[in-house]
Amino acid sequence: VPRPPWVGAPVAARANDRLLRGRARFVADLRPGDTLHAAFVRSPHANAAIVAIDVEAARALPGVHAVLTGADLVGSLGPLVPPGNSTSHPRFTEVFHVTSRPREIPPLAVDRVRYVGEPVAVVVADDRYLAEDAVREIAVEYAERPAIVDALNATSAVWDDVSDNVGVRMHVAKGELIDDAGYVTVEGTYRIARQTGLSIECRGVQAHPEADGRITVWSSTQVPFIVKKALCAATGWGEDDVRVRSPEVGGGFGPKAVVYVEELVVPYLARVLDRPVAWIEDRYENLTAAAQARDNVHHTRLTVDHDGRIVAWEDDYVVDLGVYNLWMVGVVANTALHLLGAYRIPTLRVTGTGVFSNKTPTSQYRGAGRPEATFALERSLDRAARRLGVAGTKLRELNLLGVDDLPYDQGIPYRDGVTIVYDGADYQRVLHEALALIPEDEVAELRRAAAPHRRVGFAACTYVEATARGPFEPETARIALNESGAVEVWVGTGPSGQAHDTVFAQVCADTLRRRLEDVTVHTGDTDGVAQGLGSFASRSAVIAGSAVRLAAEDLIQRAVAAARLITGSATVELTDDGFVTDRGGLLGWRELAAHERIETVRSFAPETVTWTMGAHAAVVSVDVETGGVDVLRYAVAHEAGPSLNPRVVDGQVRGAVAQGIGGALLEHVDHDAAGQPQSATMADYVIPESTGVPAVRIGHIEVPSERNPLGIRGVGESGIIAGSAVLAGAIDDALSEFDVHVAHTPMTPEYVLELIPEGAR
Amino acid sequence: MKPPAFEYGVATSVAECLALLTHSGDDDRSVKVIAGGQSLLPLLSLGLSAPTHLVDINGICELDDIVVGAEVVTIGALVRHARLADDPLIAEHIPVLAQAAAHIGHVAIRHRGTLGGSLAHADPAAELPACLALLEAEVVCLSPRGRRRTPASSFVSGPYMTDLAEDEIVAWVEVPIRSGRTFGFDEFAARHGDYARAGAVCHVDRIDGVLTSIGAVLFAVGTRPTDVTAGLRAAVGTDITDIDWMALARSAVSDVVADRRRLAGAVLARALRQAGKESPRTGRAGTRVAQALAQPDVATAAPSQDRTRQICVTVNGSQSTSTVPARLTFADYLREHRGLHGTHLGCEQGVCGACTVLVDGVSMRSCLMLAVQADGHEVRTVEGLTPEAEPLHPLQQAFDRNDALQCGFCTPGFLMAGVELLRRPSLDESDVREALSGNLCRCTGYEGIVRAVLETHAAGTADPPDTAGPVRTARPAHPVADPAPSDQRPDIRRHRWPALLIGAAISAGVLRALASRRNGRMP
Repeated sequence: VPRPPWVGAPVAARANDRLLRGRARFVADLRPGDTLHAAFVRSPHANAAIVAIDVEAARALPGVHAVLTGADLVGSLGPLVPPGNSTSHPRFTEVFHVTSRPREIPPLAVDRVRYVGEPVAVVVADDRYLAEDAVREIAVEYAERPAIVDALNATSAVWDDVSDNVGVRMHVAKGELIDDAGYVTVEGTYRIARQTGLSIECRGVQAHPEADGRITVWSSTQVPFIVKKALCAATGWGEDDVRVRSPEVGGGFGPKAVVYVEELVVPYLARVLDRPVAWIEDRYENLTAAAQARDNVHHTRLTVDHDGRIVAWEDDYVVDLGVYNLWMVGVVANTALHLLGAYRIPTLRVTGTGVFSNKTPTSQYRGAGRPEATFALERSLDRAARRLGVAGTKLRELNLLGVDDLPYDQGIPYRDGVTIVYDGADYQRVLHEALALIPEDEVAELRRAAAPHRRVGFAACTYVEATARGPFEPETARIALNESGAVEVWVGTGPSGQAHDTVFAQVCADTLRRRLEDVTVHTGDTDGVAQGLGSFASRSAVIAGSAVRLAAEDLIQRAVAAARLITGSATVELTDDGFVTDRGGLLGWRELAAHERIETVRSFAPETVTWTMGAHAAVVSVDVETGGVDVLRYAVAHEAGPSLNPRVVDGQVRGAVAQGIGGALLEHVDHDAAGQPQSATMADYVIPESTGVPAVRIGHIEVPSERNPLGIRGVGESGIIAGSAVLAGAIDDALSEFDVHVAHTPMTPEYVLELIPEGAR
Repeated sequence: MKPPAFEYGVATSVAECLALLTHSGDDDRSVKVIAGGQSLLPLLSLGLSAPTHLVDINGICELDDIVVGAEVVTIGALVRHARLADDPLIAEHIPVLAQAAAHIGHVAIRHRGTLGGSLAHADPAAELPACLALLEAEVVCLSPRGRRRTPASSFVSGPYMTDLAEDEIVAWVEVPIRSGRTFGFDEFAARHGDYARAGAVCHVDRIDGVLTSIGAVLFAVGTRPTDVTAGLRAAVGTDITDIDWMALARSAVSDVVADRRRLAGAVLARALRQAGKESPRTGRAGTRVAQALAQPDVATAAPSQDRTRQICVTVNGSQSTSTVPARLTFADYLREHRGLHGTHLGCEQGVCGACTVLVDGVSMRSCLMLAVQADGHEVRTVEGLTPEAEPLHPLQQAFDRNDALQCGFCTPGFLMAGVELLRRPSLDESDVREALSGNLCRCTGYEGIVRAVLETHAAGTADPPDTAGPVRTARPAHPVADPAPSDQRPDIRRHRWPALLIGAAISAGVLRALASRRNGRMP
């Protein structure tokens, strides 16, 4: 029976069986019998001094084991410090004129609270109910201060050492600005609301002191290695003393790719109490204290010549970072870099400012700056097209990079310091593919069939996505041939639904010419490999997958050498059945393993990012009496690499499209003027339901990348990037009789209704 | 967040309930009645309501009935929204009530939420108080002082406020049967099943095509149901086919707050169009005489109230008896006391659906039930779909085939909601999307989930237990004689809910209230 090529095969995710049976283990499901439970006292104020904390009543309650305040931790548990990979390459810093003022965050607030939800004290009790009872008994006296929610116009500072509240600033210029009477210039102000990843599983941490003196920390995280480093830095524990593991993770999307103070406090408590301690975040905590994202305002100016060719593109934008953002430059830079778009743009002026406010801290959320950049650029293109009286798709066709332009050198560096060269083939073809997925006559039929109070609109948009940064963020794979001849693989990434254990097994099995079931993959364990980071920025398949490929190739070399020794044959060839000697003898993997244990370790870091480019097309129906928007059709075409597993790739695209629709139409974390979050339940922070997401039509155009051994490109974020841009365009089109221009997210019924004159039907 | 501790008592009759409500105790007592609990439990968990005592009325069988008389339909306070939406008697005599009930929340919420609870909770966005006002229903309240009838139109006095006294419960409502009258209903929400941003219910009477009477009540546009009939009367005397419903609606909503006015006009116009279009029909009057409860025996002793309780619950065929805290949620009972971690907690606010299980064959949110409320019931969780060593259930197989999961955290809830859905005789894509809209998935975009349910339904391979019908939780034991009317009226006082806004804008109030509570002040 010929062994199928596993790479590219539509293999079902391995975790499905345990997940479907309800027998998978998420962090809240891993409880030794003597686990204690932590609950946090959290600030009800956005900005206040802590005057006094009275914990005596709480300490006296039955079942309470410990009550600690920020002051109690001073000297014994250090702050949360920015991760090592939060710095940018010096060349990027220079070309983009970057300034940054990173923060160190105390594990529990001392003297001052800066956002609603900030942990102020922690209780450990026999169970969560008792812990919350004790939390209710802790009296904190605060002296309130005015909240800073509009950072640039505030008269006071969130951080005393940052008087202007500017945490990050960067500026980049390319080409000359030229005035010409024949040019058409459109200006705009575009807002992208604050959003959050809202994984259906909240966060959670459990720490178990082990008999050998080590401590095992289970966290619902995308980045176990970064958590470990932060924990060691805060506690002073040796790297060998700590093992961080991610169990089954119920969705990540970026907010679980940062480190949180709870990930420091809970292990510390477990060590102090010498008992397993768990903290399982509830949804109220999740919607106030887990990192949020987006929250941008863009002031744009796009200049085109009389034919519509882009002459200059300028954007001055502000990102509200909230109280802090551990990566600081990261998302602000992502926006700047993706403002380059998929077009020929000779002249560019970009200024990005990240500001501190008394809102929830921020992080990356799927797309991480790309949807924001795409919204600003694509909206501006639509406005220019309207001004010129041409169709948006025509203007895009005119400016898109085509087969003659690519690869395309932008002349400025990516964050990794390497000059940006788009490694694509033909971006115009991608737009045409997206347009073909929703044919014109189908749109025309939908328009004809619409009810009298409904209008149907169509739009298409493009985006670029830098995926899998290098060369300073490697991943490591370790592969061992065990005694039975089976293969075990360890990688450093921490999946949350991306089927890493399946996909990496496909890569490994193919390389080794083994059966898929012979390969087991272990993820999310800092004991598994010496180095790793985690899953974010559409990097895991490219970087960890390549490391698996390289380690497997090494293993073949070692195995062939061993087979030669064992068989005494001068040449040995690896076949599907095992190792064939020059005399035609066969040595199976099991026999080989009986003679020699082989283990290989390889790290991989790409030379720089590899680019995925795509186009989204959508049809919406707008109810002109209510402002309600239904998404009727949605298509994504992209120029990506070959799929390691097409089911996983399609799943990533479909899921991201749903989140893109949510961000476009529904999602908004709102803080009032006092900094109070207005969306602390899932009835208030609303995401798409099954009734709100149509089937997604997907077109893959395979263009192998030369920047990694697998030839692949990241796809984790592709589906979300153009969501707001394309739905805004489709709403504009639907409401063309009213000459509207959607300029912010979310495009709620209230907002859309404001755009429509009263009495329209 | 977990509910604070309270004393819990179970009433199996109105008399027991009233005894529990009035049971003498210290002055700090605050008692709440729990029926469906779909609003109360989130309030308890969020710390926005902290009663010292909870009186569970789910066991009062006589309040769970619908009786059609010659002139009125009597609906017990414990009738669930799902029954209002499906019951043939409601469909025949008060179809607009069925139409409205189908808009309440999602399937699992409708299985548990009750008519009386909706009235007593008085959420400004609730459908039923507005419908009952429009239908000219009377609310019948019982207390040790007797029986009191209040027009539904004045029962709700403000946001989360009614004229119910502390020693009273809503027992049933009486809805007049108005043959010849047509009704309309419409509401608008940004997502399916969300609290409405504006809603309208209306009626139209006609003789020979000429409008003779018209009425409408709006909801979710003010602090209580808003009667806008006065603004519609100008159309009386007009031929119905000549009426510009949108113009009429817009003139009727001129007093609605500005940010809801256009929407109110739109939904009212749609409701009016429906009422104008429907043909009048005459329902058959019932043969049973509507009978009401006997005056409860106030001498009945109050049942015991405790902070813990022994319960016996059958889960996946395995029965177990244990003593649990009264405040323990049913989800935590399944997870921590029965070791069934497949039931996941995604929000504990009744929104995400990850904790959905089948209770007596019917889908419910296990985070919106107390463990003590599962006493004596049969429960099925995801672990019960197939034994550990056996092949996957056909729906699980279809989920696997169709990539209906990625991270898998929401999956158990979808499976349980999906298994329930497989019982329906027919199913199309929009049915599935509607029925699953109360379960949130953040990974897949739903496409595979919808396909998996449709495929399994089409194959007809679900195993026998999944096709069994629901078991009703409480049925009326006996219709009883009409007691002497009581003219003794209780003090009208503000209802016991704090003025937080769960339907209209929950968080605005939630965080302030939490802040206040944390500082030792009640909101």
